[in-house]
Amino acid sequence: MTPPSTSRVDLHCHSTASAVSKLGVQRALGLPECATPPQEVYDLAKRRGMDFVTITDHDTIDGALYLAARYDDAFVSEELTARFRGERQAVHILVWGITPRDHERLQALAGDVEAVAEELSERRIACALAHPFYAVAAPLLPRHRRRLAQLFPIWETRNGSRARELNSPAEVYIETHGGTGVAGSDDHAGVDIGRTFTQTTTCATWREFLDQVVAGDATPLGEHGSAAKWTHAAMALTTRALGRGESSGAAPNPAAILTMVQRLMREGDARASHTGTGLCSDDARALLRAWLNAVDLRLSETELIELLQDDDFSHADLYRRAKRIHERKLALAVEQVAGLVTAPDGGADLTGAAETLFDACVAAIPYAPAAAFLGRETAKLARREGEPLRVALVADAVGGMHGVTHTLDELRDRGVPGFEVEVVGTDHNVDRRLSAVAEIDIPFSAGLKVGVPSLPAIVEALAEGRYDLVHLCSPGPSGAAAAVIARVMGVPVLGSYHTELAAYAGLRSLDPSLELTARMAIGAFYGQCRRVLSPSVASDAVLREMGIRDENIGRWDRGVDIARFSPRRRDPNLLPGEITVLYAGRLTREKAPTCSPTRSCAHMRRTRACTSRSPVAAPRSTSCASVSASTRRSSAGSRATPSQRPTPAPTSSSSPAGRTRSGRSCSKRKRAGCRSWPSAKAGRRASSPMGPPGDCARQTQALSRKR
Amino acid sequence: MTQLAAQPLQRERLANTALQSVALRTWERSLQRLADGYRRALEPTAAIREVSRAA
Repeated sequence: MTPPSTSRVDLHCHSTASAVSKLGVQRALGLPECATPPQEVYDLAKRRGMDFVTITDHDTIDGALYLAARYDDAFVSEELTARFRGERQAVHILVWGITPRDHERLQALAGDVEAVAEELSERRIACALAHPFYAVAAPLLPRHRRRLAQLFPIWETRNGSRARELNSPAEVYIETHGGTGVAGSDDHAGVDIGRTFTQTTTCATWREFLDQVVAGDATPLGEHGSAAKWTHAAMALTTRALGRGESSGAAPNPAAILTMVQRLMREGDARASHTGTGLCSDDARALLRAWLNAVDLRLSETELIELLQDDDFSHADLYRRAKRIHERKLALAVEQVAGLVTAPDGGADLTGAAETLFDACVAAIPYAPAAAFLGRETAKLARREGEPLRVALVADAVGGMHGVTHTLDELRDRGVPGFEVEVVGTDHNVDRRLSAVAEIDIPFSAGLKVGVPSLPAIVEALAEGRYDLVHLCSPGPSGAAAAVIARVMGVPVLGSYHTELAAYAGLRSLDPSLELTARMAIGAFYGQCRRVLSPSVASDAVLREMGIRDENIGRWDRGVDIARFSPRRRDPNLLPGEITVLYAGRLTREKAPTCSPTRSCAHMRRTRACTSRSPVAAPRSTSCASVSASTRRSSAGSRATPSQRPTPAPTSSSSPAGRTRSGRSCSKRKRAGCRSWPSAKAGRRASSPMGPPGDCARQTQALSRKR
Repeated sequence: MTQLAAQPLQRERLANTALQSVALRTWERSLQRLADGYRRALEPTAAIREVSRAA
């Protein structure tokens, strides 16, 4: 309730009179600007304790006239669009307590903001610059803002549809330079009217109220906006304009939803786009219906609006509820999909898996564009001239030990010239960590786990990070989610190819159909990147086979720490009189197709194997058993069984560094005895002279005979 | 590997070539290549910005 000694007015709200859709968000979705009848605006404002009521429709006073004709405590206002003469910049000006004649005169002057300001001043019309840091048309330059500050001493410092961080610059400006701040809900959906308002000391009439505002005796109060508020407003507007549709209607079409969201992001802040005619209103209805079901709200149109208008309703609470449901469903869906991939009957159903994941995301999908949009608006406020471009390097499963982890360590230590790179992922050793709703075993890779981020987590990370480029390092859950979100946000995407995942899947599952499915999925993943960086000619060929165009493939080979791996460090006394062969790499099936570690141990009874941080410091008396123990963290490890499949093409060529604790083995044989200690980095295929596992024994025998 | 083990001269030659080759494969160079890749990926965006700035 309004304290008895004060008066309150929501100085910025809309009604059905704003019939022509001017806001990009509404245009993108093919929705009207506003669908709240003036009478409902009045009723809601009064219910929320507003002492006087006005409507500030875009360049029209029809809705406000309707109220003023019926109620003494209602007055006529509008949100006037005025341009800087001869320029592309425009602003919105809230003009209050006007007559139809004032309206006509102001509309006639709207092409010149200077003339509008002069008219308002001469006629002593109360007015304020609406959402001063929002680009109505072309972005305002500092000189525009300086002029606006001279022309308009009252600024809307609290706009109920804009988040706190977007309102804050105007608030700080008024606090610093003087002037008056006012507030209004800027409601377009008939939900938040009166939740943001301007307060003065008690006034008997609305004229007195406006006099107080002009005198600077006003306080902006109430809610700021948020991504959740935007989302719920869009739902309310959709419900009002289109209805929720039949409860048994069709399920939402993921492709149409993606188009809708992309359009929203692309045109959400545009003022001159076409309306979303390409989109079927059934798609918006279907998403709304699916969302209501997902968050377990079985409501009719009227009931949904009533819920959103309820005095106890909280946008943040409903968002938290949707987020929790999404996280819970996603965790279950991921488990199901992982089960599908590793099922004994094989043949993962990609379409089915995608549908399961989409269903799990429905509760969170409507919030994604709002969060991304908010991030983009916030980014516009941060001036970054001369600063390095920002890159989000999204990586999965980098908490373990493998070449990608090592590469990222080097990248973070040394930096990328001219760029500010942040590693984003669910693991502990990243710059921006995403909360994971589940951690699953990577199929056929015992001991290797990958975190699954929630949709809001990845959206918020990419939006808040204000990145110029998204670098996808792996087609895992974070990478795949980031690819979709980056596309939606219109951020360019680059991929880097590190691992022969499809070939590994085939080798480890012994299922060719799974390899084919994985190849298709990975091809689709890298196919959406503007550029794919490959470590080798062999990987170029693999990428080409997956459908990546030649001109989109670039080279990024890994480095070698030549200070660490230098002949100067050689200790000739370490293994005197011997020829020592060092294998550096993980002991997994795909790295050693012809001779698994277990076989190798058996086969090389006369060899000595060891693990060490540095080859030059290898302990002398470690055994084969220590090889297996040392590779427990590696993917297939000693579980690997022999296979005659071709070895995948060599990918990364990073050298082992001490701190990555790479499993490393060195073997030693008297004279020139060692033949079967494999090196995946050599990139041998089936024609390898090492031959299949059975050949190991034959080779040894042959060698013995030769000797 | 067997042949190499038996031929010290060839081993020496191979080692020297490998050292020369690896000297070019520093991390600095690798990261410079990554930066080049980033620039190439951003080229269309930069071009669009230029066009809109001119407009």
